[in-house]
Amino acid sequence: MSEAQLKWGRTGTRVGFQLLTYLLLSLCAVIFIFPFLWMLSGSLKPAGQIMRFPPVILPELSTLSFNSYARLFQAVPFARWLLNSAIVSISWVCGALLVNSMAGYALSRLRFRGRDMVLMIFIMTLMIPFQIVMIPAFIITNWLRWVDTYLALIIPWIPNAFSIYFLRQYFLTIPRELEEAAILDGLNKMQIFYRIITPLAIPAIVTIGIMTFMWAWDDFLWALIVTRSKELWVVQLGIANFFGQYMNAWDVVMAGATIAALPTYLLFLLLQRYYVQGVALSGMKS
Amino acid sequence: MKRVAMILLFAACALNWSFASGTGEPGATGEPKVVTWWKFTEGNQLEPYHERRIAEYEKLHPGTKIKLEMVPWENYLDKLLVAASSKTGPDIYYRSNDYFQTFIEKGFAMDLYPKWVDDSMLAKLEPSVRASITRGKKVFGFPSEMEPIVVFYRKDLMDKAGLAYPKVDWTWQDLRDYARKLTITEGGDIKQYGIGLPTDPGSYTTFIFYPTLWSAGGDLVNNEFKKSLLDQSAAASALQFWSDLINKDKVAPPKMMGNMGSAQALANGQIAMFPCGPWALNEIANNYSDMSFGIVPVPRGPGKQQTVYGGWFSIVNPYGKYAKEGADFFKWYFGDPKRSTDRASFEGVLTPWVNELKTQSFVSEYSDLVKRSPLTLEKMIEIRDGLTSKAGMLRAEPAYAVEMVEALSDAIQDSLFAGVAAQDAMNKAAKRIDDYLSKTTIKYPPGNF
Amino acid sequence: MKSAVRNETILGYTLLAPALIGLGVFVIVPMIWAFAISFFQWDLLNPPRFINIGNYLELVRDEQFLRSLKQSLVFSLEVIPLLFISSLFLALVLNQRFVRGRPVFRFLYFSPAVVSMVIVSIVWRFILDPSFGFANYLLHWFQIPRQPWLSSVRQALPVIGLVTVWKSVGYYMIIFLAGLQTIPAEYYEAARIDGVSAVQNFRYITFPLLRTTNIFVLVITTIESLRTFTQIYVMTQGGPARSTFVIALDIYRNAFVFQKMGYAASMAVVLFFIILLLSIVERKYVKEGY
Repeated sequence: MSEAQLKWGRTGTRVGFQLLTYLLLSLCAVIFIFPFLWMLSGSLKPAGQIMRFPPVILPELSTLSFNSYARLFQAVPFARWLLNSAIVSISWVCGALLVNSMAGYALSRLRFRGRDMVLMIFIMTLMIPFQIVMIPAFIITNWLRWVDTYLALIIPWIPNAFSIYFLRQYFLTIPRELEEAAILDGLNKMQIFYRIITPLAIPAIVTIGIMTFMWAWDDFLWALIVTRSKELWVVQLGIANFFGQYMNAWDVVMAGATIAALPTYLLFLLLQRYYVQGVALSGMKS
Repeated sequence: MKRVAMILLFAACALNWSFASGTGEPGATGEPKVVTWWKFTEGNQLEPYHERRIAEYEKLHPGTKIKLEMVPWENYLDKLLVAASSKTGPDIYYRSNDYFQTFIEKGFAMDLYPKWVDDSMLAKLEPSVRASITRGKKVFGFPSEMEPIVVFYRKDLMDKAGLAYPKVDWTWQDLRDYARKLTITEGGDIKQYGIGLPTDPGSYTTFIFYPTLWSAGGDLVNNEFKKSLLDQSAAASALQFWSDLINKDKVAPPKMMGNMGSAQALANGQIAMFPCGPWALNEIANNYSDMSFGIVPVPRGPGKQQTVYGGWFSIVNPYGKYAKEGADFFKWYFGDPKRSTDRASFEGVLTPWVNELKTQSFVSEYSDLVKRSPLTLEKMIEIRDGLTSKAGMLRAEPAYAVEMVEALSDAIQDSLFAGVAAQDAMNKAAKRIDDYLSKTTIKYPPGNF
Repeated sequence: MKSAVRNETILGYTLLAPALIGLGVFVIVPMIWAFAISFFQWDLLNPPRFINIGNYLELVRDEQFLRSLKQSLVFSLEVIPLLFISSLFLALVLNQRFVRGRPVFRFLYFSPAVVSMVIVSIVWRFILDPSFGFANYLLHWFQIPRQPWLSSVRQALPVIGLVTVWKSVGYYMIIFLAGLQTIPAEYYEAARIDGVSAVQNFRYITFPLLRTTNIFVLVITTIESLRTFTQIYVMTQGGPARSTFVIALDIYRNAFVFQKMGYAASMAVVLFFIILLLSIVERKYVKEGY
């Protein structure tokens, strides 16, 4: 084959490969976004239409209505519940990032007795089903007089073994040379932590931040058992309010669920740029 | 710097919001007694009605406050038990027959006789309602409602198929014929099923199964609660009937879309007949007001014609701090025929005081709210009389232990989905129930009502 | 030298203190409590009764428990590899420089993780309805026969497994993405100059350097899949005919439906040790990264 043909062939293959990739990605994307769209369209239809067959994904413009959203905010204090969720989730995330990164650093970079044992114990805390843990946890919360307060919603689950473990794994990948250079420069361990390690671990911290926010925002069962007053409800409880014994207000449920999904979405969108390759090691040059 | 800021922010938030909590605990004497009442959520908001009643009661009884806490339906039991386990449960709460017996046995229901429920009140109740709340000389709950199962059907779909509407004394064979004629297939696909049956595991399915079981002449246990009767051929034939409808004739869908007790599938024309209770009337009036439908009692079988009615009881927690005040409130609310019926009408359920009010004229006190409900007293009487035109047609949902109901549920599941023959499935269930009965002493036997 | 080590110990435990206290009070104490209560009989409403190892003896003879355990393991065996491979694959693809609109794709794949599991389960339950759901409608359009999905004893558990994977892929994808950022670009540069193929790139650079992330994802997906509860509870309640009755449901059923808290606790203890064993095996098997 001539050189020109070879070159052409390679480009053709590359374009084909790229096209295939995009096709695959787009197909997957449809599968992933589709139920969310269905949920959104369900919130814009009257309650009776959600189970129609053949399934109506795009509602006709004539029946499109934001009625369910209106009902959501009028029939119940949904705005207050959104605020509660925001308060709880943001406090939780702040606390979690602090506490868990400190623990992760200690378990990855510091040497002390019992270190590996502590890590093991932390991971073990993930292995027990929540239904069993929640009763004694509730008894303790009750004893602390935290029931029906924000404290009970925020504090108990701030230290989280998943986060600690993940951050620890991530910290392990940061090269030791950086630390050693810093020690030579006269920094102590704490300063290394927040001047050097933390900036390099931004992708991991952002990830944990998003996840913690998601867990806090989506938490249902714990909020259910420690909350008594309706003023203290969080969004997930609010949505469950519209489920009944025999019938559910599907349109309102879908509206609530759509709104509930938005904050995490927005957070993720805003923080996407921290997933850029190379940010982690930009400090290497200095 | 960033770390410090975060620490300060967090501390500030924590301090601030720890004080901005929900309502606090009531104090010592001089402060009002706060009775906590737990109720589960419905799909439609019913609280405004209850709140009005509460306001009325609080005015009559200064010094007592009633705090109504709504708990999401799905997790009502979990929350109730977690709270009860640490003695922080509500003073008064709702529960249906699925756990009523358990709560009675475990001491979680206060005896209301004779201070709150006396003989004269008992005499005014439906006999089977009376039986379901009493155990010997004790009364463990206030009756709040009766929800008898009837069969809803689409008049227009019957018209289209050229069928006459079902008669009051129709048989199960008639039902099967109707279901066959009302199942429409188009291009190899079933577009419309004749009837919709609940098929999920659990007590709702067994609840809807009872009429079939009973009218075939079968039962779960004998009257003394000593032996299970599920291994008899009547019970097996009832189960076989359901299994055939779904698997052989394919006139019932294997799974109901959405909530099993919702009339949505009927309204969408996915099924043409639907065994359900009067709560559906509320849903239909609110969401499907232009649906053309009729109601007919459940069919009769070789044994008899009998339907089940479910109901919720208002129970007082003996460990509750203000249990007595709660019982007083419940007596005022649920123990008064007119007030209770007013509420039942609003909630879309039958009142247990139908006999009492039948001959009186009845006007709702909260007509602005009650107007929305299609279940007026007249309609209640119509449904109830249509069902008890024969003696013994109305039977309360039995107070079986959870293990017993589960045995039946598993038998239904095995027969419908695991290809197990009905007789074998029932034999297995009967054995489980016998095992359970031999190992357990029932302190307050309910009797077979 | 000794004081330096001691300083580090003090610092270590100081940093660990909040986490230790928090987890200690709200998780470790409950765990110990759960372990203790497994030797009692407790119906939640009355005081507990000590019965020694009675619960464990009953457990061994409990047919349903063994079935639940088996189904949990089958479920995990399906979910863990699928989840691991698909999330890693997506992360790799989305990390390619030539892909335009990466943020958009990442965002779309992350969508299921954002919606609560309850709503996701409800939505899928509708879609998978055998008579009137969208899934069968689609199949019908492609001339494929309709499937029973959640109403079949054979299909229900795998289908729920797929839904679980679908929901969690985005979640683990961003974990892998974060992990991929730690691999210096220079390695890939050097490889490109040497004319290395994409597969070799992956095998000799990417995968080994992702070791700590790999271990993490493996251990966590194992733990999570064996604790699965919500989606099964909402979609099938353990049916049809108990084909999706996994261990978490059995624990719930014994604790709340039968009010046999001690027995449920003993199940949880057994589950705990199984998960513990599996995690240890997994980490030893993948060797380093500890």
